Amino acid sequence: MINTMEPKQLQDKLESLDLTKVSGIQWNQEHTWSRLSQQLELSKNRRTALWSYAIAASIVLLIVFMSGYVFLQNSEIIQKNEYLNENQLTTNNIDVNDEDCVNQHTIANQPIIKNSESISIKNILVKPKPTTQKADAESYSEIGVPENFEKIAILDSANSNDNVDSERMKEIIASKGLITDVNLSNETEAEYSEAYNLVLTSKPIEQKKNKFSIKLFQRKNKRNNVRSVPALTLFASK
Amino acid sequence: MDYKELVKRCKKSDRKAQELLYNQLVTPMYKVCLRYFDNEFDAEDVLINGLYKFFHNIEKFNFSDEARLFGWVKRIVINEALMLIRSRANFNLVSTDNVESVSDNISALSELQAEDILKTIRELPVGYRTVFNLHVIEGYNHKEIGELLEVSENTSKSQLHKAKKMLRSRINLNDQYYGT
Repeated sequence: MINTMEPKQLQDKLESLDLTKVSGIQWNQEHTWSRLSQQLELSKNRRTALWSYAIAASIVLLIVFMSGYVFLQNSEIIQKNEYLNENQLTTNNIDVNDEDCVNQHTIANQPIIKNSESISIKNILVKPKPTTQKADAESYSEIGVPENFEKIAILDSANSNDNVDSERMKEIIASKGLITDVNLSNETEAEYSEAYNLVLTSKPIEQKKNKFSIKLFQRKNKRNNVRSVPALTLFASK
Repeated sequence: MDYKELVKRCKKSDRKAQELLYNQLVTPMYKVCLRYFDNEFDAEDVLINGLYKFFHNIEKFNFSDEARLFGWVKRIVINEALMLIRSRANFNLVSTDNVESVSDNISALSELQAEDILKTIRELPVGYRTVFNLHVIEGYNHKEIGELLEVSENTSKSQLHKAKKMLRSRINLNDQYYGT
C-alpha cells in the first residue's frame, strides 16, 4: 500500500533515479550553471554598484554640506562687508573737523547750525557713503531714537572698534560749535559688549537741553550672531 | 570533497567554489524539482532560483555536516517550488469530479521503478501532487502542509486522499495494460 511505504524509502528510491531514463527530460547541467552563474554575477555587480552609489552619495552629501557651510560663512562675510560699504560713514571719509566737508555730506546739504539754541538740528545727519535710499532707510530705521532725544548724527565707528576715543569725539563735536556742553556717555564700553538690535539706551543721560549722548550699538544678523558693526549715534535732547 | 572548505570559499563569493558545490548539489535538487512540476522548464527555473537564493544567503549558513547542508538547500528549493505553485494554483478548487473512482486494493508504489514512480507522481494534478510530495515523500504532517500551502489542514488531507486514489487507479491501469 502506498501509505505503508516510509517517506525515507520513497525518498531513497527517488534519489536513485537515473535522469537519463526519464522520458521527456533533456536537462543540461552546464546550461543551468551558466544561467545560475549569470544571476550570481549580476547580483555581485548590483551589490558592488549599490556600495559605489552609497559611497558616492556620501561624498556628494559631504561636499554639499561643506559647500553650504563655506557659502554661509562667505555670505556672512559679504553681508558684513556690504553693510560696512553701504554704511561707510563719515569718520572714514570725512574730516569732521572740516566743516565744508561735513556740509557736503549732510542730508539736503543743510548747513551745520552753529547756534546752540537752535537745537532742532536733526537734519545734520551725516550721510552714509556710498548712499542709497534703501541703505539710508535701513540704517536709520534700525536705530531707535530714545524718548526725548532727537537723532542728529550717525557716525561710523566700524573701524574704531572698541577704542572709541570719547575725548576726541567730544573735541570734534565741541569744535563744530554744535553745542557748548557735550556729554559723552561713560557707559559705552559696557553697552558695547551687549548685543542689541537697537540703540542700547532708552533713557537720556541728562534731560537738559543741549546735551548730547553718544551711544554705541551692535546689531544682530538673522542667525542671532552679533555682527561687529558698531556705529556711533549722537542724540540731542529735545 | 571538503564541503566545509567549499562553503567557506562560497561565502567569499569564490566562483570556482560555487561551481564545485553546484556540481554536488544540482542533480539531487533537480530530482526534487521534477517531483513538483510536470514540465522540466518550471523545474529548472525553480532549481536556479533556489540555488541562487542558497548562494546568496550562504553567509547565514553555519556548516556542521554534509547532511545539514543538503537539507538546507533542499528546503530552499522546495520553498521556491511551493512559491511558484501557490502563485499558479488554488488548492481548494480541485474538484472531486476529476478523481477517478478506484478500489483500495492496488499495488504499492514501492514495487515500481524510480522512473515510473516519478512519472506517476508527475501525472497527478498539481494540488494532489504537491500534497503527496510533501506528506508522503518529505514527511510533513497536514498541519505543516496547511501552513506551507496556505490551505486548511482538511484540504491537505482531502488532497492527499484524492492523490492516493488517483495513484492507485493509475497503477492498476498500468498493471492491467502491461499484464503485471
